[in-house]
Amino acid sequence: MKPDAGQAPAIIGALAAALFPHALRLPPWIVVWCAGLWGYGALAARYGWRRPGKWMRTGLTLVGIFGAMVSFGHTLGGDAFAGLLAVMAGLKPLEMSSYRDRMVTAFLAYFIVITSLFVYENLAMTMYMGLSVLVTTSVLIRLNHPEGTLSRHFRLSGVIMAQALPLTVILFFLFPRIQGSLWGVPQETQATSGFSDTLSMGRVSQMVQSDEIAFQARFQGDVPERRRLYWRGIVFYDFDGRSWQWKLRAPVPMDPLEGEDPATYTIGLEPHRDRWLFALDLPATDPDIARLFPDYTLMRRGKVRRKLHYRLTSLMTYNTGPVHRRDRAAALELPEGGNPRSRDLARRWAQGVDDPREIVDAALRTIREENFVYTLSPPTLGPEPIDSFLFDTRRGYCEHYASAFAFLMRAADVPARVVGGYQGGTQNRYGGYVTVRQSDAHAWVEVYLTGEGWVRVDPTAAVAPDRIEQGVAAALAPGEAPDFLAGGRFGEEFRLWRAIRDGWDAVNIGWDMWFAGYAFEQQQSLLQKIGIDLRSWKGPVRALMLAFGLIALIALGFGLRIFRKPRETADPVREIYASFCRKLARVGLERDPHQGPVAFADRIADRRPDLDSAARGIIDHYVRLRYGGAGVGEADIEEFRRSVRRFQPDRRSAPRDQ
Amino acid sequence: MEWSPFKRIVRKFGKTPPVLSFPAALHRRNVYVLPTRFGLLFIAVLTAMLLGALNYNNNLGFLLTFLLGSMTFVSILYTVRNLSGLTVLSVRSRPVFAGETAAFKFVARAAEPVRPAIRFNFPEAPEIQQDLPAGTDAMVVLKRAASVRGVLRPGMLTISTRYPLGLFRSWARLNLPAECLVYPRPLPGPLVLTDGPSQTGEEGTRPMGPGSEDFQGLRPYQPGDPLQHISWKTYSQGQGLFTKRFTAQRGAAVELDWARLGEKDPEDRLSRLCHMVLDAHRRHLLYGLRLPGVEVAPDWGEAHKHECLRALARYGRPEDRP
Repeated sequence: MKPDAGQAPAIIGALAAALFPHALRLPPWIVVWCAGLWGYGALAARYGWRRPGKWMRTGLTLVGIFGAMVSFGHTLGGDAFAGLLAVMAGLKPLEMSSYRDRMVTAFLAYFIVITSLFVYENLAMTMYMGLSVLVTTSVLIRLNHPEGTLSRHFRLSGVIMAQALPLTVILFFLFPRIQGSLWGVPQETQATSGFSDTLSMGRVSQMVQSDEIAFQARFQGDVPERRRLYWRGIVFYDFDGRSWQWKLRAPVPMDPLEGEDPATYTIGLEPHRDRWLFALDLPATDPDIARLFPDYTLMRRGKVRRKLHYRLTSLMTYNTGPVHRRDRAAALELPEGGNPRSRDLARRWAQGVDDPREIVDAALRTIREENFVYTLSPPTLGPEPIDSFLFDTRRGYCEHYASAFAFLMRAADVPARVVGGYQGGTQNRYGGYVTVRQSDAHAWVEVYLTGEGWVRVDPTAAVAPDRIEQGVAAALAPGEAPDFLAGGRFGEEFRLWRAIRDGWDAVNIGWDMWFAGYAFEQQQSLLQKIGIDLRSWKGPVRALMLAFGLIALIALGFGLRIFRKPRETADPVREIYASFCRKLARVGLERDPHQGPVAFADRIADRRPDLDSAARGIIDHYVRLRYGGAGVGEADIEEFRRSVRRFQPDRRSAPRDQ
Repeated sequence: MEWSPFKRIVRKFGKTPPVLSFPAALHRRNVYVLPTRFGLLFIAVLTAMLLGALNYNNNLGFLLTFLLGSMTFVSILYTVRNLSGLTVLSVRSRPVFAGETAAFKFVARAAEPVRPAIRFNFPEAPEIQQDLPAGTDAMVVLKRAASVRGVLRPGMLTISTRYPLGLFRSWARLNLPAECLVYPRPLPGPLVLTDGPSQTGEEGTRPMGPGSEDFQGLRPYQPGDPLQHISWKTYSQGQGLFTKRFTAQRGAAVELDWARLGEKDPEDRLSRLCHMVLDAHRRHLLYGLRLPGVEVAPDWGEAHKHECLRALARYGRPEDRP
């Protein structure tokens, strides 16, 4: 068997392991393409079939690239890149005739592994990455040692990985990270669900269809009650008659928030490609990575394109204090005309009422007591959407209620604004944290009451209290909730599955907060403890020097072990003989390395006749022990040791001549 | 010649170190290590990975890059360890005729652990790769074409390894006293004989008998003497091993003489003589060899044949060490 016959399957295995995580994302034809070509490559190596010639390979390459271009269009995103790599990986086993080709293919496998890391950044992928590196490294060892066994290569690969681990940890923590990016991150064309800066009717109910995770929050201490979990994201002031717009507002002065019931938590926010961060009502501190605005929203300078971790403290009972007149004016603004019936209703409520609380109560009472329905599929609204909703359809989701409520408040001269965010979340049974999904998206209203500041009013709670107490699935009519939310029908099995999923989530979040959250800010605060400041130019240099210093230290330890003088295997007879030879060497009779015992005895007799009889006795004994065959007793060796100990040559008569 | 610091460094490193004596050990002063071209390529791939991880702030990317980088680093130590503690104990080679392939047999020993994928090579000769077991002696056979008569010195022995990952190569160059005697290439032709110095008489070819009838006497056994000529009788009497001497013709020692050959080229003459020595040996002649300045007294047997061939191989090459 030619050596490469055994290597083609190994390399194909490494490529398959590296590409496996991509399999679900790649177009199916690429999966078939790889499977077909690899199958042919493996069989060709096994049975010595002809490999395709140069023209055939060039043709296949062109076909593959053409196919990838058709599949991915002109966008050169991460998926297209992974697709091209997969096309190449499919072809590679056909041209692995030389050592060089095989080495390059192994490198390709490593490279494919890293592309999958950019797609899935989670614990499962980390573990899979370890496996994939193990496989590819064993294949690399196999390429350089085709004679060895596969199990041996796997073992060595594991040992090398284990030995590299301490160095990896050192580099991971100390290698200086950067803020921002080197050359910018390409825009993903594909839209992700989440809030945009426009809140129109039907926007939130769309988001409910997705069970994607928006963020996860880990609380220090107990998780607050579900009905208090209002995760604030955007505050809308501007209403154009149909939808609410977010616009950057001129900053107003802001006092520190007063309140009680603090809750401290860390949020791991999934990338949503917008600038706002989510926080529990109301955040009292601003994290290093974002700014706190006067409407108590958090905004970053750049968009959130990677998973972000930040720690916050919120006050759950608060008083925002007096409102700035500019904000008050904005919170009362309405379009010139439109929705006349609603305006009339609001004006009627406001007539002769001093306390705006009464207006709020009147509006909530209307929603609660009239035949309003909370539904995911509201009918289309007419040209005057608020009127149409309040007086005709009366069916809507939270954004309908929030919009209409805020409109009514403004029309009754009560300052109001709409807040977009999430409400609730799934609490994990194994840890103090909450997973908030897109399906928890919510919109509510804040009104300004003199003396109390901005106060949260949630009209959805009036129409569907279950939405706030138990979640979306409980509040909707049977059959209306998306499948993933209506889990109850699976019964006992489903409960077990939920328990497993919660456990896995708990591990994942722990890993996520600890590992994936490590970035420039975390490194900065870690290194500050040992006196390295990353913000000055010296910081990164010091961190690198520290990292390489530690690595050099470890390497030195290794190196000393490697270069230790090889010890002869423990053999008492040989050791005793060696000490005998050392004694003779001290008096100028050095044994040549190749010199056998009898020849040495002759030389001793020749040069130091006075030592002859003693030395010959010892050497004869040695020969007997060494070459005398079986049956060397302990006592015999002991006697040999004694006679060597007694042997004390002196320098009295120096060796003749020479 | 232009002055070039690079060439000077190359010359300094390329110069032949003194000939070593056995056992020749590999240790930290004679084992070097440098990345292979695949190592350089891999470092480039790792750099690209690192830049990608930095740009996207991808912690898993960092983890993989640092893991692979650390493994590359660890592999250097493995590569160096694979050579260090290796000892070449001896080298032997049997004489060959020019045009044949010389085989150098090295005995090497490795301290623990096993040394996989060790490569041995001489300049301009194919490389061989083999595993060396730990603690015991292993035989390594390196072949090299022997095209020219004389003493073949294969040059520096390079012992190298790329194990385990092929990203780094460590090597040591040993100047070992390896040499192989290369006899002249036998050139067929008539067997031109001259009568030995003990007799005078006519010259020319003689008919050769089987050479086993005429018992001449006994002489001590030499390795290579045919078994059927051993005097078992004396051996059974406890007098030691002796070989019975026969001659084709009593006292008819012949001489193979350089001066009697007509070839112009001295190498051709040596080749002719080589063939004649082999011929004479095959015919069990009692023959001697006469070269300008060199004379081998008539004798016969395996040892004598090699003595004659040795004289032919060494002829005119005083610079060759004995």
